[in-house]
Amino acid sequence: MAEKQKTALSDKNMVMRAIKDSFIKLKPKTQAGNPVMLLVYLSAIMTTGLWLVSLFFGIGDAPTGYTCAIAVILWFTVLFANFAEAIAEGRGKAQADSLRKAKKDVDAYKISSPHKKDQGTIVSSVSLKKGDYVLVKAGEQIPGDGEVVDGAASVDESAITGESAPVIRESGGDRSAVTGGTTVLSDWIVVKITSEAGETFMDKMIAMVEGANRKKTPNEIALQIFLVALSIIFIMVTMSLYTYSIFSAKQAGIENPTSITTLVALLVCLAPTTIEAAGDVDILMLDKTGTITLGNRRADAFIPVDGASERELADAAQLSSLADETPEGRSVVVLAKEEFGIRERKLSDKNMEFVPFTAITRMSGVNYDGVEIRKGAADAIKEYVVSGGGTYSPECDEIVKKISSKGGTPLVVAKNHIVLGVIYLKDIIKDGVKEKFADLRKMGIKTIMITGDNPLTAAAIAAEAGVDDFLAEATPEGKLEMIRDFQKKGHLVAMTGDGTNDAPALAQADVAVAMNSGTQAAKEAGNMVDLDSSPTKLIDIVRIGKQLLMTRGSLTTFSISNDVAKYFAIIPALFMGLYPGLGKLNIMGLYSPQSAVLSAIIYNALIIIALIPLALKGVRYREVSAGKLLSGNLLVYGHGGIITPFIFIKLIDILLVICGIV
Amino acid sequence: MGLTVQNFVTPATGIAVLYALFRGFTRVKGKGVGNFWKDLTRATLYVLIPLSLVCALFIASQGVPQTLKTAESVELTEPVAFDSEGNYLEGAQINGNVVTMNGKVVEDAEVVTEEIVPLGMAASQVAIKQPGGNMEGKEARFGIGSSSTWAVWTTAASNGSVNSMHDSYTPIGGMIPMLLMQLGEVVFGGVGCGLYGMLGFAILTVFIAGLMVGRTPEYLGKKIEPYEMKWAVLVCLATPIAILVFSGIAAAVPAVADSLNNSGAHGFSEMLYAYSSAGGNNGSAFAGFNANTPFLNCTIGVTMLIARFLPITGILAIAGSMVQKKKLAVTAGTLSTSNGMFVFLLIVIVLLIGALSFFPALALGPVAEFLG
Repeated sequence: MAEKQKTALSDKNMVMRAIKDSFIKLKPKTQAGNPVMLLVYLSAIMTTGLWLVSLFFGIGDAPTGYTCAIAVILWFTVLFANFAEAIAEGRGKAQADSLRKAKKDVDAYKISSPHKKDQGTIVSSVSLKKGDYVLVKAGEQIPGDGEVVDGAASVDESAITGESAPVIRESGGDRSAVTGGTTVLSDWIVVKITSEAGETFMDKMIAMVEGANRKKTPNEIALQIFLVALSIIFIMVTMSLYTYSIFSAKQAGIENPTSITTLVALLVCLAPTTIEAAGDVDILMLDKTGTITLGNRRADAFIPVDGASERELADAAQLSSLADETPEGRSVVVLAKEEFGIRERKLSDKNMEFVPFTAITRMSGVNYDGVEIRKGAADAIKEYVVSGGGTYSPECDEIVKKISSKGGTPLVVAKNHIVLGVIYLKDIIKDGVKEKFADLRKMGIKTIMITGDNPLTAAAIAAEAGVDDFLAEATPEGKLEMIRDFQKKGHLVAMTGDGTNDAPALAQADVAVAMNSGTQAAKEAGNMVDLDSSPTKLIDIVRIGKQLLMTRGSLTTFSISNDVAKYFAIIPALFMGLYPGLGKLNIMGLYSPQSAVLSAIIYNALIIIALIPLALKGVRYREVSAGKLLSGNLLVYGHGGIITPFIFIKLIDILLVICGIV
Repeated sequence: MGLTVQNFVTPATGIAVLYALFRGFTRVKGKGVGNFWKDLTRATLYVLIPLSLVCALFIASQGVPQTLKTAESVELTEPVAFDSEGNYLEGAQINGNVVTMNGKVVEDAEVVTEEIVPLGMAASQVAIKQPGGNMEGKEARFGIGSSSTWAVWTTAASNGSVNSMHDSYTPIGGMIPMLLMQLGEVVFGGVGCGLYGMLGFAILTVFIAGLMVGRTPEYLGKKIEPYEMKWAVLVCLATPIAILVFSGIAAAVPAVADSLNNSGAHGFSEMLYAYSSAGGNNGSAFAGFNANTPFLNCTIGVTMLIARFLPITGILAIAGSMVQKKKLAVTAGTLSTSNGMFVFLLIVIVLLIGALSFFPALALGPVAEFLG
């Protein structure tokens, strides 16, 4: 089961920040964004005005102290609602913070030019300017975004991409760009810094996360319309009630006992204040690595070329991979054993000398008894074969292209400068993934695979896994753009991801799931963390979306049901002066009209705070039919919403009486 | 004649609008929702005129006088007697002009043998002349059962004809017809508009229910989106808003008090009933209220226009948007809209919106009158 992130309330810093934000949010501009809260806000201002007028000019239709109490409680209502909103938003701010943490200052070995590698000074990464050269050796962190101008190295970019496999970065060509915050694993490189502090990849990423405010989903917009319409009705109810009471008082021949202050209090009580949450998902974007595929490629077949036998190829491939401890290397050894029964041999057996992989040669292999076996990328082996006087046949070239087009990775094996054949490394689709996607499709959810692979490879894997669509050569901007596009078309997007470069997209997505194996930034950006990084948890993601929708629906139902009790508290209080008989409607037996109104608005303010944990945790989604779920939730939130306020308004009333406030 | 045309065209319009909505739901990725003139003609020609012919013959066969005169004196099947104070003498023996009650001759008794029945256009408002004395609050013609049943029918079904004076009902007795109209013509409602009004509420209910089970709301296979919600909310809330706004304005106009027949809470009820009747497209009245002043005529008329045509606009907008949508397949997760649960929720929402809108107003009117 996917674990919800630790409750925001349990985090002290988050609460402190939310409290601070609730005051900052008092700015009229912020309040204007939410029509229902604007109503409460204006009511608070209005009652404060009434209080001031009655305090300084003695003009008022209710006692000064009473008006003051109402005004104070209304301001608290506004603050509480701001607090609830700030808590919900707190998560987004935590994401940006964690990204900032990842962007730490490191020492950089600055050199004056790429040729003077031994004459350098140690400076802070922050002080690096565009055009500076730095030397980064194995084990060191690259201090800033830049371009490799000399050397080649394998770089661990998992902090940014989430991909655990190291990548090669070398001077020249399209693999020369490096990102600050990544670590050099082997060899060394000289990097020419291309962006200054404040404009780096990390900085841009932080800006994107902070900018990626969740768009309102169609369901949220519809709910907003409904709530606004209800608010309008309640405004009409209270305004007409004012003239009604004037009319009735005149009919009864007495002075109008209904105060504007109480009417404003009634209006605020009726306004359906609910707490933010997201909505129903119909598009699921999945990171390829770790979600759809196992993450490591595996040897799937040996394809001999130029008349070499398959067994010969397998034998050579196994020998060259004996010392290769990467999952890919192990898989070659295993495949050779499984297919041809070639037993694993030990390096010490034949005096073998292992040639490790380096960023420069981009090959690995063994030397023994004058035999040289090499395996590596097609172009690297081609160079090796040609330089040794061998030929690189068109047949081999053909097979390499075919494997690439199928989404696989070709590894060419050569023995003594003669090509033996190609190892077909394949991205292995996880078990059960295809069936899960079929299920999701039945649920009306479109699946999209996101990958950094080229479109050809991506298409092949997408077809095999059975996803509906794919985004190849995905960049952080590309992912963000795609999600925004779908959201604009009215879709709700869920996304899984594990890299820092996924963070902006995760923040934009309506429901975001970070893999547990992912980077901290990705985890912070997600609504939840998938503990075992398993694709079988996809259904859970959909469920979380439903849960968020249900939470809003239930809170709204609860809020509207509450109005019934509030009427029974306030209406008798309002009109008892006019028609004493209406006191019989005071079924809660509240102490006095003033205590009734105060109890109702205090309840109204406190319930906002009381509902925050529920809003964050969500209403439980159960595997039962929609009908059963509806009746269950109606029972809890509908009936509960009617009964709860009766009990608590009465309790608050008793407390007010005990404290001697009324 | 002019009003007779309205009597046919009004329900025909309701049917035409309803059919537009039907087509919105049934057509898949369609272009239009039909032709208003065609539907209007069909409804009038094939449904309403035949229906009126059959009903007229049936009613005539039951002895309802048919004449074009404005009023007619008709003989009662049995003479009835009243004492000098105007009280109806139930079970009295009437022999010519001598009235005996429980074996005793009643002095100064009045015997009534015929009644004036208003006809023509006024026939839909069969105002019963109470013979002799003050009969306020005493229902003598059809009895409590038949009178109150008809009061419920006529207000629930947007009919407007009465067989007793609603103004004379007990406070709660008068509140029920008022509430039925305030619910927005959906219990039965007018021809066509009753059903499309209820479908508006159904869309609202589907949305709330959908939220509560975590499904994107859909109704009859069509997805409900913000656009439909916007209009559905307008369809459902146009009536309460129109009633509240204009009765609220009227309450602030001093001259309105002169139109009242009663004072106090009942006077307020009279005024509230007038606007509720207009908002519910009804036509019945707390007849002691004199609505024939320029201000009341205008505001009540505007209330009628808003409560009638805003929902029609909304329904046509929903129909136009629905017709373009594709039909969603029914899956295991689809929320059934044909079971008891949904019907229950729909009723609760209709009542809740009515109650939330009118509880305070009713508290000042009938409820205050009842509780004294």
